[in-house]
Amino acid sequence: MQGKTILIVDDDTVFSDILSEILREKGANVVIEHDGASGLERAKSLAPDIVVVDVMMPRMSGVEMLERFRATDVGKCVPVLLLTNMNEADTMAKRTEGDPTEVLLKTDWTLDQIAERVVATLAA
Amino acid sequence: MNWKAFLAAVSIFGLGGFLVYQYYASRYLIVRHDPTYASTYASELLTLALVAAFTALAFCTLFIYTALATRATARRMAFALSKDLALSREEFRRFYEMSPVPYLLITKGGKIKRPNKASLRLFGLDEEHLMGQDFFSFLSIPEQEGKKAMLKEMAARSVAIDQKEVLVTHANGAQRWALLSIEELLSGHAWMQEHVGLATLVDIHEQKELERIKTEFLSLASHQLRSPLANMKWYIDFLLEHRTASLVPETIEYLRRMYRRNEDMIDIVNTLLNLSRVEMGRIKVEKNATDLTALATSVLEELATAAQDKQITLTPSLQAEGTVETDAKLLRIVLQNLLTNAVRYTPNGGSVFITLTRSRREVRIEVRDTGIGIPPEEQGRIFSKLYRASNAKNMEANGNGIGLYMCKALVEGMQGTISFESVAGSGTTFVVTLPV
Repeated sequence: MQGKTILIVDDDTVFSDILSEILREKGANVVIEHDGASGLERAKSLAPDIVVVDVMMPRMSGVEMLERFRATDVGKCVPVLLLTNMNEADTMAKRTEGDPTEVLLKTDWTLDQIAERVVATLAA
Repeated sequence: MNWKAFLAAVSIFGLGGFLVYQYYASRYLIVRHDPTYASTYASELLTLALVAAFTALAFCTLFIYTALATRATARRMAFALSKDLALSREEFRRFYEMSPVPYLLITKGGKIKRPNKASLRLFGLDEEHLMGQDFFSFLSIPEQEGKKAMLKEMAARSVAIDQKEVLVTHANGAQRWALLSIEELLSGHAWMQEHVGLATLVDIHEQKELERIKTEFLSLASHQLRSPLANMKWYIDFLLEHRTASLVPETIEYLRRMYRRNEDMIDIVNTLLNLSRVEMGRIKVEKNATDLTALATSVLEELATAAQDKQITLTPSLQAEGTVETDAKLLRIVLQNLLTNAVRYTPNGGSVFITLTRSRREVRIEVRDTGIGIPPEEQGRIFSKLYRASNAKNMEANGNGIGLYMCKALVEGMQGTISFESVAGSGTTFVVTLPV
Protein backbone atom coordinates (compact mmCIF):
# COMPACT_ATOMS: atom_id res chain seq x y z
CA MET A 1 0.00 0.00 0.00
CA GLN A 2 3.03 2.24 0.45
CA GLY A 3 3.16 4.99 -2.14
CA LYS A 4 -0.26 4.16 -3.63
CA THR A 5 -2.55 7.10 -4.32
CA ILE A 6 -6.24 6.66 -3.56
CA LEU A 7 -8.92 9.19 -4.55
CA ILE A 8 -12.11 9.16 -2.49
CA VAL A 9 -15.06 11.14 -3.92
CA ASP A 10 -18.10 11.38 -1.65
CA ASP A 11 -20.22 14.22 -0.31
CA ASP A 12 -20.57 12.38 3.00
CA THR A 13 -17.60 13.83 4.91
CA VAL A 14 -17.80 11.34 7.78
CA PHE A 15 -17.53 8.46 5.33
CA SER A 16 -14.58 9.93 3.46
CA ASP A 17 -12.81 10.92 6.66
CA ILE A 18 -13.16 7.51 8.30
CA LEU A 19 -12.28 5.55 5.16
CA SER A 20 -9.28 7.76 4.53
CA GLU A 21 -8.14 7.28 8.12
CA ILE A 22 -8.33 3.48 7.75
CA LEU A 23 -6.46 3.60 4.44
CA ARG A 24 -3.82 6.03 5.69
CA GLU A 25 -3.17 3.65 8.59
CA LYS A 26 -2.34 1.10 5.93
CA GLY A 27 0.19 3.50 4.45
CA ALA A 28 -1.66 4.80 1.43
CA ASN A 29 -1.71 8.38 0.19
CA VAL A 30 -5.38 9.45 0.26
CA VAL A 31 -6.96 12.43 -1.49
CA ILE A 32 -10.59 13.44 -0.86
CA GLU A 33 -13.09 15.36 -3.02
CA HIS A 34 -16.70 16.06 -2.09
CA ASP A 35 -18.53 16.31 -5.43
CA GLY A 36 -18.44 14.70 -8.87
CA ALA A 37 -17.17 17.72 -10.81
CA SER A 38 -14.15 18.43 -8.63
CA GLY A 39 -13.62 14.69 -8.25
CA LEU A 40 -13.33 14.39 -12.04
CA GLU A 41 -10.82 17.25 -12.27
CA ARG A 42 -8.74 15.81 -9.44
CA ALA A 43 -8.85 12.32 -10.96
CA LYS A 44 -7.61 13.67 -14.30
CA SER A 45 -4.73 15.68 -12.79
CA LEU A 46 -3.78 13.20 -10.09
CA ALA A 47 -3.98 9.91 -12.04
CA PRO A 48 -4.63 7.89 -8.85
CA ASP A 49 -4.07 4.14 -8.51
CA ILE A 50 -7.70 3.63 -7.55
CA VAL A 51 -10.84 5.75 -7.18
CA VAL A 52 -13.59 5.16 -4.62
CA VAL A 53 -16.67 7.09 -5.70
CA ASP A 54 -20.23 7.50 -4.48
CA VAL A 55 -23.12 7.59 -6.99
CA MET A 56 -25.40 10.23 -5.46
CA MET A 57 -23.45 13.49 -5.25
CA PRO A 58 -24.08 17.19 -5.88
CA ARG A 59 -22.96 18.88 -9.13
CA MET A 60 -22.17 15.64 -10.92
CA SER A 61 -23.25 12.07 -10.16
CA GLY A 62 -20.70 9.32 -9.64
CA VAL A 63 -21.91 7.52 -12.75
CA GLU A 64 -21.44 10.61 -14.94
CA MET A 65 -18.06 11.31 -13.38
CA LEU A 66 -17.04 7.73 -14.09
CA GLU A 67 -18.21 7.90 -17.70
CA ARG A 68 -16.28 11.11 -18.30
CA PHE A 69 -13.22 9.79 -16.51
CA ARG A 70 -13.27 6.64 -18.64
CA ALA A 71 -13.34 8.83 -21.74
CA THR A 72 -9.95 10.37 -20.85
CA ASP A 73 -6.55 8.76 -21.51
CA VAL A 74 -5.68 8.76 -17.81
CA GLY A 75 -8.96 7.15 -16.78
CA LYS A 76 -9.09 4.17 -19.15
CA CYS A 77 -7.69 1.51 -16.86
CA VAL A 78 -7.83 2.97 -13.36
CA PRO A 79 -9.82 0.63 -11.10
CA VAL A 80 -12.93 2.28 -9.67
CA LEU A 81 -15.12 1.18 -6.78
CA LEU A 82 -18.59 2.65 -7.29
CA LEU A 83 -20.62 2.86 -4.08
CA THR A 84 -24.37 2.95 -4.37
CA ASN A 85 -27.68 2.55 -2.60
CA MET A 86 -29.45 2.05 -5.89
CA ASN A 87 -31.24 -1.13 -6.66
CA GLU A 88 -30.07 -0.95 -10.26
CA ALA A 89 -26.57 -1.98 -9.13
CA ASP A 90 -26.57 -4.85 -11.60
CA THR A 91 -27.46 -2.77 -14.62
CA MET A 92 -24.79 -0.22 -13.82
CA ALA A 93 -22.22 -2.93 -13.49
CA LYS A 94 -23.27 -4.19 -16.87
CA ARG A 95 -22.91 -0.83 -18.55
CA THR A 96 -19.30 -0.61 -17.49
CA GLU A 97 -18.47 -4.24 -18.19
CA GLY A 98 -14.97 -4.83 -19.47
CA ASP A 99 -13.49 -1.88 -17.61
CA PRO A 100 -12.11 -2.20 -14.07
CA THR A 101 -15.21 -0.89 -12.28
CA GLU A 102 -16.77 -2.68 -9.37
CA VAL A 103 -20.19 -1.72 -8.02
CA LEU A 104 -20.63 -2.12 -4.28
CA LEU A 105 -24.02 -1.94 -2.58
CA LYS A 106 -23.31 0.25 0.45
CA THR A 107 -25.37 -1.70 2.96
CA ASP A 108 -23.51 -4.93 2.13
CA TRP A 109 -20.14 -3.54 3.23
CA THR A 110 -18.54 -2.11 6.36
CA LEU A 111 -15.83 0.54 6.00
CA ASP A 112 -13.16 -1.99 6.92
CA GLN A 113 -14.44 -4.34 4.25
CA ILE A 114 -14.39 -1.52 1.69
CA ALA A 115 -10.81 -0.70 2.72
CA GLU A 116 -9.88 -4.38 2.33
CA ARG A 117 -11.52 -4.39 -1.10
CA VAL A 118 -9.38 -1.37 -2.06
CA VAL A 119 -6.24 -3.19 -0.90
CA ALA A 120 -7.22 -6.39 -2.74
CA THR A 121 -7.99 -4.49 -5.95
CA LEU A 122 -4.66 -2.69 -5.81
CA ALA A 123 -2.85 -5.97 -5.18
CA ALA A 124 -4.54 -7.67 -8.14
CA MET B 1 -98.89 -38.96 -36.24
CA ASN B 2 -99.03 -40.25 -39.82
CA TRP B 3 -99.05 -43.94 -39.02
CA LYS B 4 -101.81 -43.39 -36.44
CA ALA B 5 -103.94 -41.63 -39.05
CA PHE B 6 -103.22 -44.46 -41.48
CA LEU B 7 -104.27 -47.09 -38.93
CA ALA B 8 -107.45 -45.18 -38.15
CA ALA B 9 -108.26 -44.90 -41.87
CA VAL B 10 -107.62 -48.61 -42.44
CA SER B 11 -109.85 -49.60 -39.49
CA ILE B 12 -112.66 -47.29 -40.57
CA PHE B 13 -112.54 -48.51 -44.16
CA GLY B 14 -112.21 -52.13 -42.98
CA LEU B 15 -115.24 -51.88 -40.72
CA GLY B 16 -117.24 -50.03 -43.41
CA GLY B 17 -116.35 -52.69 -46.00
CA PHE B 18 -117.34 -55.49 -43.63
CA LEU B 19 -120.73 -53.87 -42.92
CA VAL B 20 -121.41 -53.25 -46.60
CA TYR B 21 -120.59 -56.90 -47.32
CA GLN B 22 -122.94 -58.09 -44.54
CA TYR B 23 -125.71 -55.86 -45.86
CA TYR B 24 -125.20 -57.16 -49.35
CA ALA B 25 -125.25 -60.72 -48.02
CA SER B 26 -128.45 -60.11 -46.06
CA ARG B 27 -130.22 -58.58 -49.11
CA TYR B 28 -129.15 -61.00 -51.74
CA LEU B 29 -127.82 -64.20 -50.13
CA ILE B 30 -129.81 -64.93 -46.98
CA VAL B 31 -133.07 -63.55 -48.42
CA ARG B 32 -133.45 -66.59 -50.70
CA HIS B 33 -133.63 -68.96 -47.73
CA ASP B 34 -135.38 -66.95 -45.01
CA PRO B 35 -136.76 -63.53 -46.06
CA THR B 36 -138.09 -62.56 -42.60
CA TYR B 37 -134.79 -63.18 -40.83
CA ALA B 38 -132.97 -61.39 -43.62
CA SER B 39 -135.04 -58.26 -43.35
CA THR B 40 -134.60 -58.08 -39.56
CA TYR B 41 -130.88 -58.75 -39.96
CA ALA B 42 -130.54 -56.05 -42.60
CA SER B 43 -132.31 -53.39 -40.52
CA GLU B 44 -130.13 -54.20 -37.51
CA LEU B 45 -127.01 -54.05 -39.66
CA LEU B 46 -128.15 -50.71 -41.00
CA THR B 47 -128.55 -49.38 -37.45
CA LEU B 48 -125.13 -50.71 -36.53
CA ALA B 49 -123.61 -49.12 -39.66
CA LEU B 50 -125.23 -45.81 -38.86
CA VAL B 51 -123.91 -45.86 -35.27
CA ALA B 52 -120.45 -46.79 -36.53
CA ALA B 53 -120.57 -44.04 -39.14
CA PHE B 54 -121.58 -41.46 -36.59
CA THR B 55 -118.85 -42.54 -34.21
CA ALA B 56 -116.27 -42.44 -37.00
CA LEU B 57 -117.49 -39.03 -38.05
CA ALA B 58 -117.21 -37.77 -34.49
CA PHE B 59 -113.71 -39.13 -34.22
CA CYS B 60 -112.71 -37.65 -37.57
CA THR B 61 -114.09 -34.27 -36.63
CA LEU B 62 -112.26 -34.38 -33.33
CA PHE B 63 -109.06 -35.48 -35.08
CA ILE B 64 -109.25 -32.79 -37.74
CA TYR B 65 -110.10 -30.16 -35.17
CA THR B 66 -107.11 -31.16 -32.98
CA ALA B 67 -104.77 -31.15 -35.96
CA LEU B 68 -105.97 -27.75 -37.05
CA ALA B 69 -105.71 -26.37 -33.53
CA THR B 70 -102.13 -27.68 -33.16
CA ARG B 71 -101.13 -26.13 -36.46
CA ALA B 72 -102.53 -22.79 -35.42
CA THR B 73 -100.66 -22.95 -32.11
CA ALA B 74 -97.48 -23.95 -33.89
CA ARG B 75 -97.89 -21.08 -36.29
CA ARG B 76 -98.52 -18.67 -33.45
CA MET B 77 -95.48 -20.01 -31.58
CA ALA B 78 -93.27 -19.81 -34.64
CA PHE B 79 -94.39 -16.25 -35.17
CA ALA B 80 -93.64 -15.34 -31.57
CA LEU B 81 -90.30 -17.11 -31.73
CA SER B 82 -89.21 -15.36 -34.89
CA LYS B 83 -90.23 -12.09 -33.33
CA ASP B 84 -88.16 -12.92 -30.26
CA LEU B 85 -85.20 -13.95 -32.39
CA ALA B 86 -85.37 -10.75 -34.34
CA LEU B 87 -85.59 -8.89 -31.08
CA SER B 88 -82.68 -10.77 -29.51
CA ARG B 89 -80.57 -10.22 -32.62
CA GLU B 90 -81.30 -6.53 -32.34
CA GLU B 91 -80.60 -6.69 -28.61
CA PHE B 92 -77.35 -8.52 -29.26
CA ARG B 93 -76.32 -5.99 -31.87
CA ARG B 94 -77.01 -3.17 -29.44
CA PHE B 95 -75.22 -4.99 -26.66
CA TYR B 96 -72.21 -5.45 -28.94
CA GLU B 97 -72.26 -1.86 -30.14
CA MET B 98 -72.96 -0.16 -26.83
CA SER B 99 -70.84 -2.35 -24.53
CA PRO B 100 -68.24 -0.31 -22.67
CA VAL B 101 -65.78 -3.12 -23.39
CA PRO B 102 -64.01 -2.78 -26.74
CA TYR B 103 -64.94 -5.64 -29.09
CA LEU B 104 -63.69 -6.23 -32.61
CA LEU B 105 -64.29 -8.97 -35.12
CA ILE B 106 -61.06 -9.85 -36.84
CA THR B 107 -60.21 -12.19 -39.67
CA LYS B 108 -57.69 -14.97 -39.34
CA GLY B 109 -55.11 -12.71 -40.92
CA GLY B 110 -55.79 -10.09 -38.24
CA LYS B 111 -57.76 -7.62 -40.38
CA ILE B 112 -60.32 -5.61 -38.45
CA LYS B 113 -63.87 -6.29 -39.64
CA ARG B 114 -66.28 -4.94 -37.13
CA PRO B 115 -65.16 -2.66 -34.33
CA ASN B 116 -67.76 -1.63 -31.73
CA LYS B 117 -68.05 1.90 -30.37
CA ALA B 118 -65.84 1.31 -27.35
CA SER B 119 -63.04 0.00 -29.56
CA LEU B 120 -63.34 3.07 -31.81
CA ARG B 121 -62.82 5.18 -28.68
CA LEU B 122 -59.88 3.03 -27.59
CA PHE B 123 -58.15 3.37 -30.95
CA GLY B 124 -59.25 6.98 -31.48
CA LEU B 125 -60.34 6.27 -35.07
CA ASP B 126 -63.69 6.12 -36.85
CA GLU B 127 -65.04 2.94 -38.38
CA GLU B 128 -63.92 3.83 -41.92
CA HIS B 129 -60.33 4.22 -40.88
CA LEU B 130 -60.28 1.16 -38.71
CA MET B 131 -61.94 -1.30 -41.09
CA GLY B 132 -59.52 -3.57 -42.89
CA GLN B 133 -56.52 -2.42 -40.86
CA ASP B 134 -54.12 -4.89 -39.28
CA PHE B 135 -55.37 -5.33 -35.72
CA PHE B 136 -51.95 -6.28 -34.40
CA SER B 137 -50.34 -3.10 -35.74
CA PHE B 138 -52.11 -1.23 -32.91
CA LEU B 139 -50.70 -3.52 -30.24
CA SER B 140 -47.29 -3.78 -28.69
CA ILE B 141 -45.67 -5.62 -25.82
CA PRO B 142 -42.68 -3.67 -24.47
CA GLU B 143 -39.39 -5.60 -24.54
CA GLN B 144 -41.20 -8.67 -25.86
CA GLU B 145 -41.98 -8.10 -29.52
CA GLY B 146 -41.51 -11.82 -30.09
CA LYS B 147 -44.50 -12.44 -27.89
CA LYS B 148 -46.66 -10.23 -30.10
CA ALA B 149 -45.67 -12.23 -33.18
CA MET B 150 -46.65 -15.32 -31.22
CA LEU B 151 -50.09 -13.87 -30.41
CA LYS B 152 -50.62 -13.07 -34.09
CA GLU B 153 -49.64 -16.59 -35.00
CA MET B 154 -52.08 -17.98 -32.42
CA ALA B 155 -54.89 -15.85 -33.83
CA ALA B 156 -54.07 -17.03 -37.36
CA ARG B 157 -54.30 -20.65 -36.22
CA SER B 158 -57.56 -19.97 -34.34
CA VAL B 159 -55.98 -20.76 -30.98
CA ALA B 160 -57.84 -18.93 -28.21
CA ILE B 161 -55.92 -16.13 -26.51
CA ASP B 162 -56.80 -15.53 -22.88
CA GLN B 163 -56.16 -12.20 -21.13
CA LYS B 164 -52.70 -11.25 -22.31
CA GLU B 165 -51.37 -7.84 -21.31
CA VAL B 166 -50.77 -5.60 -24.32
CA LEU B 167 -50.26 -1.91 -24.97
CA VAL B 168 -52.82 -0.38 -27.33
CA THR B 169 -51.74 2.64 -29.34
CA HIS B 170 -54.32 5.43 -29.67
CA ALA B 171 -54.38 7.52 -32.85
CA ASN B 172 -52.83 10.41 -30.90
CA GLY B 173 -49.86 8.23 -29.98
CA ALA B 174 -50.85 7.62 -26.36
CA GLN B 175 -50.64 4.05 -25.18
CA ARG B 176 -52.89 2.19 -22.78
CA TRP B 177 -52.58 -1.19 -21.15
CA ALA B 178 -55.31 -3.70 -21.94
CA LEU B 179 -56.03 -7.37 -21.49
CA LEU B 180 -56.38 -9.01 -24.89
CA SER B 181 -58.52 -12.09 -25.46
CA ILE B 182 -59.38 -13.59 -28.83
CA GLU B 183 -62.00 -16.27 -29.13
CA GLU B 184 -62.93 -17.90 -32.43
CA LEU B 185 -66.52 -17.24 -33.41
CA LEU B 186 -68.29 -20.16 -34.99
CA SER B 187 -69.78 -18.64 -38.07
CA GLY B 188 -73.15 -20.02 -39.13
CA HIS B 189 -72.14 -19.69 -42.74
CA ALA B 190 -70.12 -22.69 -43.74
CA TRP B 191 -69.51 -21.11 -47.13
CA MET B 192 -67.55 -18.30 -45.49
CA GLN B 193 -63.95 -18.78 -46.39
CA GLU B 194 -62.62 -16.72 -43.53
CA HIS B 195 -63.35 -17.52 -39.93
CA VAL B 196 -63.60 -14.57 -37.64
CA GLY B 197 -62.30 -14.09 -34.15
CA LEU B 198 -63.90 -11.96 -31.46
CA ALA B 199 -61.18 -9.79 -29.95
CA THR B 200 -61.80 -8.23 -26.56
CA LEU B 201 -59.62 -5.54 -25.04
CA VAL B 202 -60.27 -4.81 -21.37
CA ASP B 203 -58.71 -1.53 -20.31
CA ILE B 204 -56.46 -2.07 -17.28
CA HIS B 205 -54.44 1.10 -17.68
CA GLU B 206 -55.42 2.71 -14.38
CA GLN B 207 -54.67 -0.49 -12.54
CA LYS B 208 -51.23 -0.82 -14.17
CA GLU B 209 -50.49 2.83 -13.49
CA LEU B 210 -51.36 2.42 -9.80
CA GLU B 211 -49.21 -0.67 -9.61
CA ARG B 212 -46.31 1.19 -11.20
CA ILE B 213 -46.65 4.16 -8.86
CA LYS B 214 -46.83 1.86 -5.88
CA THR B 215 -43.75 -0.13 -6.83
CA GLU B 216 -41.78 2.94 -7.82
CA PHE B 217 -42.61 4.55 -4.53
CA LEU B 218 -41.54 1.42 -2.74
CA SER B 219 -38.29 1.33 -4.66
CA LEU B 220 -37.55 5.02 -4.09
CA ALA B 221 -38.46 4.84 -0.42
CA SER B 222 -36.28 1.79 0.06
CA HIS B 223 -33.41 3.53 -1.65
CA GLN B 224 -33.78 6.58 0.55
CA LEU B 225 -33.91 4.31 3.59
CA ARG B 226 -30.71 2.55 2.65
CA SER B 227 -28.52 5.66 2.75
CA PRO B 228 -28.91 6.35 6.48
CA LEU B 229 -28.79 2.63 7.26
CA ALA B 230 -25.48 2.28 5.45
CA ASN B 231 -24.13 5.26 7.39
CA MET B 232 -25.28 3.81 10.72
CA LYS B 233 -23.64 0.52 9.82
CA TRP B 234 -20.36 2.23 8.94
CA TYR B 235 -20.17 4.46 11.97
CA ILE B 236 -21.11 1.82 14.53
CA ASP B 237 -18.72 -0.62 12.90
CA PHE B 238 -15.99 2.02 12.90
CA LEU B 239 -16.48 2.68 16.61
CA LEU B 240 -16.42 -1.03 17.40
CA GLU B 241 -13.38 -1.76 15.28
CA HIS B 242 -11.23 1.35 15.73
CA ARG B 243 -12.33 3.14 18.88
CA THR B 244 -12.81 0.31 21.39
CA ALA B 245 -10.00 1.66 23.55
CA SER B 246 -11.99 4.77 24.38
CA LEU B 247 -15.29 2.92 25.03
CA VAL B 248 -16.57 1.36 28.24
CA PRO B 249 -17.90 -2.24 28.01
CA GLU B 250 -21.51 -1.14 28.44
CA THR B 251 -21.23 1.21 25.46
CA ILE B 252 -19.66 -1.53 23.38
CA GLU B 253 -22.53 -3.91 24.23
CA TYR B 254 -25.13 -1.31 23.25
CA LEU B 255 -23.25 -0.54 20.05
CA ARG B 256 -23.29 -4.26 19.21
CA ARG B 257 -27.05 -4.36 19.72
CA MET B 258 -27.47 -1.26 17.61
CA TYR B 259 -25.42 -2.87 14.88
CA ARG B 260 -27.56 -6.04 14.92
CA ARG B 261 -30.84 -4.13 14.86
CA ASN B 262 -29.52 -2.01 12.03
CA GLU B 263 -28.63 -5.17 10.10
CA ASP B 264 -32.22 -6.41 10.63
CA MET B 265 -33.48 -3.15 9.21
CA ILE B 266 -31.17 -3.50 6.19
CA ASP B 267 -32.61 -6.99 5.64
CA ILE B 268 -36.16 -5.65 5.68
CA VAL B 269 -35.32 -2.90 3.22
CA ASN B 270 -33.55 -5.38 0.94
CA THR B 271 -36.59 -7.65 1.06
CA LEU B 272 -38.90 -4.77 0.18
CA LEU B 273 -36.62 -3.78 -2.66
CA ASN B 274 -36.42 -7.30 -4.02
CA LEU B 275 -40.18 -7.54 -3.80
CA SER B 276 -40.70 -4.31 -5.70
CA ARG B 277 -38.28 -5.52 -8.34
CA VAL B 278 -40.13 -8.82 -8.70
CA GLU B 279 -43.40 -6.95 -9.04
CA MET B 280 -42.06 -4.46 -11.54
CA GLY B 281 -40.77 -7.39 -13.56
CA ARG B 282 -37.29 -6.01 -13.22
CA ILE B 283 -35.74 -9.25 -12.06
CA LYS B 284 -33.50 -10.40 -14.87
CA VAL B 285 -32.11 -13.88 -14.66
CA GLU B 286 -28.38 -13.70 -15.31
CA LYS B 287 -26.86 -17.13 -15.49
CA ASN B 288 -23.24 -17.71 -14.68
CA ALA B 289 -21.16 -20.66 -13.59
CA THR B 290 -22.10 -21.14 -9.94
CA ASP B 291 -20.60 -23.46 -7.37
CA LEU B 292 -23.77 -24.56 -5.57
CA THR B 293 -21.92 -26.22 -2.72
CA ALA B 294 -20.01 -23.02 -1.99
CA LEU B 295 -23.18 -20.96 -2.28
CA ALA B 296 -25.11 -23.20 0.14
CA THR B 297 -22.15 -23.28 2.54
CA SER B 298 -21.92 -19.50 2.66
CA VAL B 299 -25.67 -19.16 3.32
CA LEU B 300 -25.34 -21.75 6.11
CA GLU B 301 -22.46 -19.76 7.61
CA GLU B 302 -24.64 -16.65 7.77
CA LEU B 303 -27.22 -18.66 9.68
CA ALA B 304 -24.81 -20.39 12.04
CA THR B 305 -25.25 -17.88 14.88
CA ALA B 306 -29.04 -17.91 14.72
CA ALA B 307 -29.05 -21.72 14.73
CA GLN B 308 -26.58 -21.86 17.61
CA ASP B 309 -28.74 -19.54 19.69
CA LYS B 310 -31.57 -22.07 19.44
CA GLN B 311 -29.33 -25.18 19.63
CA ILE B 312 -30.53 -26.23 16.21
CA THR B 313 -28.23 -28.55 14.30
CA LEU B 314 -27.67 -27.64 10.66
CA THR B 315 -26.89 -30.73 8.61
CA PRO B 316 -25.75 -30.12 5.05
CA SER B 317 -25.50 -32.92 2.52
CA LEU B 318 -24.14 -31.19 -0.54
CA GLN B 319 -23.58 -33.51 -3.47
CA ALA B 320 -23.42 -31.17 -6.42
CA GLU B 321 -19.88 -31.31 -7.72
CA GLY B 322 -18.64 -28.68 -10.12
CA THR B 323 -20.50 -25.62 -11.28
CA VAL B 324 -24.01 -25.10 -12.61
CA GLU B 325 -25.23 -22.37 -14.97
CA THR B 326 -27.68 -20.45 -12.83
CA ASP B 327 -28.29 -17.04 -11.29
CA ALA B 328 -26.30 -17.12 -8.05
CA LYS B 329 -27.80 -13.90 -6.66
CA LEU B 330 -31.38 -15.02 -7.06
CA LEU B 331 -30.68 -18.55 -5.84
CA ARG B 332 -28.97 -17.09 -2.77
CA ILE B 333 -32.13 -15.14 -1.90
CA VAL B 334 -34.18 -18.35 -2.26
CA LEU B 335 -31.83 -20.37 -0.06
CA GLN B 336 -31.60 -17.60 2.52
CA ASN B 337 -35.39 -17.47 2.79
CA LEU B 338 -35.94 -21.22 2.99
CA LEU B 339 -33.16 -21.79 5.52
CA THR B 340 -34.05 -18.74 7.64
CA ASN B 341 -37.66 -19.96 7.80
CA ALA B 342 -36.50 -23.47 8.69
CA VAL B 343 -34.41 -22.17 11.60
CA ARG B 344 -37.01 -19.60 12.67
CA TYR B 345 -39.91 -22.03 12.79
CA THR B 346 -38.12 -24.94 14.41
CA PRO B 347 -38.27 -25.09 18.21
CA ASN B 348 -35.06 -25.11 20.24
CA GLY B 349 -32.99 -28.25 19.95
CA GLY B 350 -34.45 -29.25 16.55
CA SER B 351 -32.69 -30.01 13.26
CA VAL B 352 -32.49 -28.47 9.81
CA PHE B 353 -31.20 -30.44 6.84
CA ILE B 354 -30.21 -29.15 3.44
CA THR B 355 -29.65 -31.63 0.66
CA LEU B 356 -28.23 -30.72 -2.73
CA THR B 357 -28.32 -33.27 -5.51
CA ARG B 358 -27.68 -32.96 -9.17
CA SER B 359 -28.76 -35.08 -12.11
CA ARG B 360 -28.10 -34.56 -15.78
CA ARG B 361 -31.28 -32.55 -16.19
CA GLU B 362 -31.80 -30.72 -12.94
CA VAL B 363 -30.52 -29.57 -9.61
CA ARG B 364 -32.60 -30.49 -6.61
CA ILE B 365 -32.43 -28.57 -3.36
CA GLU B 366 -34.23 -29.92 -0.34
CA VAL B 367 -34.60 -27.97 2.91
CA ARG B 368 -36.10 -30.09 5.69
CA ASP B 369 -36.80 -29.10 9.26
CA THR B 370 -38.29 -30.63 12.38
CA GLY B 371 -40.32 -27.49 12.99
CA ILE B 372 -43.90 -26.54 13.68
CA GLY B 373 -45.10 -27.43 10.17
CA ILE B 374 -47.85 -25.80 8.15
CA PRO B 375 -51.48 -26.50 9.12
CA PRO B 376 -53.14 -28.54 6.32
CA GLU B 377 -55.97 -26.06 5.79
CA GLU B 378 -53.47 -23.24 5.24
CA GLN B 379 -51.11 -25.06 2.90
CA GLY B 380 -52.83 -23.75 -0.22
CA ARG B 381 -52.10 -20.14 0.68
CA ILE B 382 -48.56 -20.41 1.89
CA PHE B 383 -47.05 -18.90 -1.28
CA SER B 384 -49.44 -15.91 -1.33
CA LYS B 385 -48.05 -12.46 -0.72
CA LEU B 386 -48.18 -11.23 2.89
CA TYR B 387 -49.67 -14.54 4.05
CA ARG B 388 -48.32 -16.06 7.23
CA ALA B 389 -49.50 -19.36 8.66
CA SER B 390 -51.39 -18.98 11.94
CA ASN B 391 -48.93 -21.12 13.93
CA ALA B 392 -46.00 -19.15 12.46
CA LYS B 393 -47.60 -15.91 13.67
CA ASN B 394 -48.06 -17.39 17.13
CA MET B 395 -44.48 -18.49 17.36
CA GLU B 396 -42.81 -15.41 15.90
CA ALA B 397 -44.45 -12.00 15.79
CA ASN B 398 -41.84 -10.63 13.42
CA GLY B 399 -42.17 -11.64 9.81
CA ASN B 400 -43.64 -10.06 6.71
CA GLY B 401 -45.13 -12.90 4.68
CA ILE B 402 -43.01 -12.00 1.69
CA GLY B 403 -40.29 -14.66 1.79
CA LEU B 404 -42.08 -17.63 0.25
CA TYR B 405 -44.02 -15.45 -2.18
CA MET B 406 -40.72 -14.13 -3.46
CA CYS B 407 -39.07 -17.58 -3.49
CA LYS B 408 -41.81 -18.84 -5.78
CA ALA B 409 -41.54 -15.82 -8.07
CA LEU B 410 -37.75 -16.13 -8.28
CA VAL B 411 -37.68 -19.91 -8.75
CA GLU B 412 -40.31 -19.72 -11.47
CA GLY B 413 -38.39 -16.86 -13.04
CA MET B 414 -35.48 -19.28 -13.31
CA GLN B 415 -37.78 -21.89 -14.96
CA GLY B 416 -37.65 -24.02 -11.82
CA THR B 417 -40.27 -25.44 -9.50
CA ILE B 418 -40.88 -25.12 -5.78
CA SER B 419 -43.09 -27.37 -3.68
CA PHE B 420 -43.38 -28.57 -0.11
CA GLU B 421 -44.66 -31.28 2.13
CA SER B 422 -45.55 -30.57 5.70
CA VAL B 423 -47.04 -32.27 8.71
CA ALA B 424 -48.24 -29.80 11.32
CA GLY B 425 -46.24 -30.27 14.46
CA SER B 426 -43.50 -32.43 13.02
CA GLY B 427 -41.82 -30.52 10.20
CA THR B 428 -41.71 -29.21 6.67
CA THR B 429 -39.68 -30.06 3.58
CA PHE B 430 -39.31 -27.58 0.76
CA VAL B 431 -38.05 -28.86 -2.58
CA VAL B 432 -36.66 -26.58 -5.28
CA THR B 433 -35.70 -27.95 -8.67
CA LEU B 434 -33.85 -25.96 -11.27
CA PRO B 435 -33.09 -26.99 -14.85
CA VAL B 436 -29.40 -27.37 -15.62
